[in-house]
Amino acid sequence: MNPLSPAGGLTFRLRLQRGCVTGVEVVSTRPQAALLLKGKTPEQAAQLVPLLFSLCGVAQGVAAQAALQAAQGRMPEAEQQACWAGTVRREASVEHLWHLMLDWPQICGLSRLEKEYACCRHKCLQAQTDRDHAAALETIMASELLGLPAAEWLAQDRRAWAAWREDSPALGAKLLRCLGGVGGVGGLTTAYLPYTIAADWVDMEQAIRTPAFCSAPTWRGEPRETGVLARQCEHALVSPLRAAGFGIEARLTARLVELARWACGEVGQVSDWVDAAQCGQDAGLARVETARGVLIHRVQMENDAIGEYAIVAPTEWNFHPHGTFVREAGRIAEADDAAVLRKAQGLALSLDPCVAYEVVLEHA
Amino acid sequence: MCLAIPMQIVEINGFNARCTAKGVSREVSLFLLQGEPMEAGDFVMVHTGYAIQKITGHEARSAWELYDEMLAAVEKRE
Repeated sequence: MNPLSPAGGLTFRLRLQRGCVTGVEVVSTRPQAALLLKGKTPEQAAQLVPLLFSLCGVAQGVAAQAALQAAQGRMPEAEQQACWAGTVRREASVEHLWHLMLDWPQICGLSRLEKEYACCRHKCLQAQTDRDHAAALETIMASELLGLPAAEWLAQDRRAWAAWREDSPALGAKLLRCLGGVGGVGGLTTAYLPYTIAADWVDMEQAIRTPAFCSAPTWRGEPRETGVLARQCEHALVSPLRAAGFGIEARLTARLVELARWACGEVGQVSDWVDAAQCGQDAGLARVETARGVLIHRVQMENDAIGEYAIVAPTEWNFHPHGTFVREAGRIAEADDAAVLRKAQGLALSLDPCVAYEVVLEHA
Repeated sequence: MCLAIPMQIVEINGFNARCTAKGVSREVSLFLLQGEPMEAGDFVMVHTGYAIQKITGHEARSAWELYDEMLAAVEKRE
């Protein structure tokens, strides 16, 4: 492992025969960093987790605090839970904006909106209230991503949305036009992880305690997709794309929809974002919703120190050996290698792994 | 797991900085942290070429201690 890449990475090996993908393998070198927390005190863990996972450090830190408190028999008070939910959502918005304003433009050959992103990121992270956060999002959505007020964009019917997609100079429309050639891979076949609360995971805690589950999690024995498409799949602007099998476009649109809804103050319930449950003696479990999907932390205390720590992260669901990426990449059929590569990279980015990744094509 | 890398700033040139960690040098963009006072010797968390957070030297050392444990565990397995 590269000493400057302790995060490891993902390699996607696509076997090809005459432009058709005939097999997909995900090779992961991602370490199970949670194992390092064994033996630490709750205070040490609460300080170390946001540092270890600094890309989504707020969500990871909240999950750690909530799980540790639950293990000690303390459930979050309403005020604390609301505060956590707000900070988690602000971090998620910054992650969505990074994805839309820095990552996708690069894939599509457009200019990255670095200056605009830096300004909006600062405002979102500094926001003290949901209202401040919504105002920051409304500004960037109207000026750069949508080109019109978020509420107006969300209220469009299919015809108006199609016209916006074809003609608008806003970045969101430009990205969707660029995806016109890479959006569909011929049907979405992985079911979504359903809406859950922490208590739903308590029955699964024996599985969560095993490294095998943490690296390849399943729900009722099946891999599931988690993340923004699972959350927004029923929205009127998203569901037709999903039904048509345009998974990449559906995920990108779902991100725009989610940000627009937050800009309009549609943030859901506090418990949608974070909650916790006690699971047995001295054990606690927290569920936090992040930009990339559901994050689970489970901790077992032993004599005032951490005896076991397990984390189930969203990337492990979406890049499961039989999960969404593998199934959708397995349906790619293109005229040449370059087009296969482009579609596979777009598919990976739409699922947004939180580590470096590469796509390797192997000819039969 | 969304790990970012703690690095120390050696030199700043506009919005770019030369940073080091473990004897390896990288060019890092400070663009996302504009407005935060930054100077040579400071520590930042780096993700895909961008500094995303300023941290203390103590935090950087704590993170690297954990990363070193992780790398040692991986090397032992290999």
